Amino acid sequence: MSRKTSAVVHSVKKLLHEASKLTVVDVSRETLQYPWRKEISVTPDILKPALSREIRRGVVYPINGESLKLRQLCGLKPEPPHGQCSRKALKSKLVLLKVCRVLDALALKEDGGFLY
Amino acid sequence: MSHKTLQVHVARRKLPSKVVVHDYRLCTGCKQCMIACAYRHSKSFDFRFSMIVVEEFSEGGESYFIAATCMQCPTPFCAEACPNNALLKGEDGVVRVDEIRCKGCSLCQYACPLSHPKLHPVQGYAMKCDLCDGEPRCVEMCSSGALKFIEVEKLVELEDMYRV
Amino acid sequence: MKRRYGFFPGCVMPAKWPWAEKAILLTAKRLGLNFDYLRDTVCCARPGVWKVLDKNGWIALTSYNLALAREQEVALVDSCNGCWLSHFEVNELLRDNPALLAKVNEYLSTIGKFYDGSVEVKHWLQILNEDVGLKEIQELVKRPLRLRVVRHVGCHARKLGDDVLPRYFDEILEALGVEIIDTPYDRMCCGLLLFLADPQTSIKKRAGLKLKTANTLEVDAVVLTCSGCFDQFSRAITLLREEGDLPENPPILHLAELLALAFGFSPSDFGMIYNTTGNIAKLQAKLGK
Repeated sequence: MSRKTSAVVHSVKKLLHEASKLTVVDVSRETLQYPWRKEISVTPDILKPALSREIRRGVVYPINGESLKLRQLCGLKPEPPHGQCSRKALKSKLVLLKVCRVLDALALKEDGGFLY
Repeated sequence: MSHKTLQVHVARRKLPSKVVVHDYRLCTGCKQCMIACAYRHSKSFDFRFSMIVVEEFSEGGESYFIAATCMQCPTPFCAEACPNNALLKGEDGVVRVDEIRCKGCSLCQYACPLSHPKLHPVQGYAMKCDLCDGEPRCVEMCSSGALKFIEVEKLVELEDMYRV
Repeated sequence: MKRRYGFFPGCVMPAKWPWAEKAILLTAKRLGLNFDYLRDTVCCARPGVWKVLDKNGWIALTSYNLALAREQEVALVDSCNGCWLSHFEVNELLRDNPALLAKVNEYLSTIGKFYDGSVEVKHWLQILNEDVGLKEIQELVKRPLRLRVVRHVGCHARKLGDDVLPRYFDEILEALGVEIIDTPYDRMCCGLLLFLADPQTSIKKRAGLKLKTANTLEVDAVVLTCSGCFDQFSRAITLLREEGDLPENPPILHLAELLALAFGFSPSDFGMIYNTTGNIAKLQAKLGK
């Protein structure tokens, strides 16, 4: 055994010795070990509504009554011409959903799951 | 652990061709890397599942962020410390956890200088960075360029980065 | 023929930051740009979320806007760093990878769209600095702004390195006569990207910390270009005010608002008076002096 390897053995032994002094095994955790492990969903509740809103509307922030008024006060057309409300929003939404469906149908998604 | 086992590991010591490095000078602390990593490992944005950890520290009125992740050591202490051989270095140099063998004893965590391996909060086995099979999500998400996925040979060129 | 620009305001600006949108339109006109909205767009798709969840989906959705810009024969302009990053990065990916472009076109063809990688994606700071130029901006300044400001560039704007968009930001501010006050947290993220995972840190240790530092330094405004950052700052202001943790703070302004003011527009010309993120009256009083 080379000097270097022997040094590694020594340091690992030392680490194991140090570790053995600590209570590191949680008995309750034993019950969670294979093959009794169960698949669980860990997706937080916060994520799904935020995403479905994004998907449903095609935008994160839809224009509401208050923003329509503010837009007018600022001298802008109430409806932004890039398609966030009314018929244009509907169109955007449909387009978005269509693209998503196409993606889904062609199994482009690599992660799978709840998205579409 | 027998010397024989250790020798086998040492014989297989190898670094991956590329590793993740972090330049604290560029980091903005946005933690997008942690979000991407957590999602990759758990399909959630729960930081307990992130294999990269970004921590803040302040010095002389300045605030910095440092990121710690697995260095895929040539002789990984985590693997050496594991009594069940649940951590194995692959041919590609990446250290991975065999979830079936892992008994969740945490010895790998104690052995690692960075305490990198984490225990799954529910299922109890160890989790660690696997470099996303060659396309680390953390690096992909880093807009400020603080995280880099670079060839091991080029690490020497980055010496300046770590000189404080 | 003059280059045509298609402006993509994103989702936050039309809904929550209309005075910034108006300021961009006003200043673009004053700068003589052939500038209009990019029409009929969809979500950029937000890189901080979509790129994490489904990279291929993100590429396909974002390429829809790029296909629109091609159809409308415009350079795509973003002011929001998130929108810019999505459009810019997807554009680069598609240009570099013909197989990916072909795949995306398969999907786009189902809705009658096509993209060839020809669109130029530009951040609004690039338009000002590269296409217009600092000299021309300076020539249009009628009222140099003697203001002290803290600027927040935003994480995604650092994609091309600190020497591009962050430098442009500073140079434009200086051209307007504004004094930039450095803080220890200039590089730090506003916290938006962190909000889904860790709201406490996101509000208190990111945007909140920046706002409190700006307060301590007694600056006149915090200046941004990113709508995502504005969203985060305005959310932090609301939450911290509710908790009584932020009695006062300087207003959050878009760089275009300062540009408009320097070009001689009054705050009521573009609705800046409706900005509730801070004490606008104080700022107006200072400008009036």
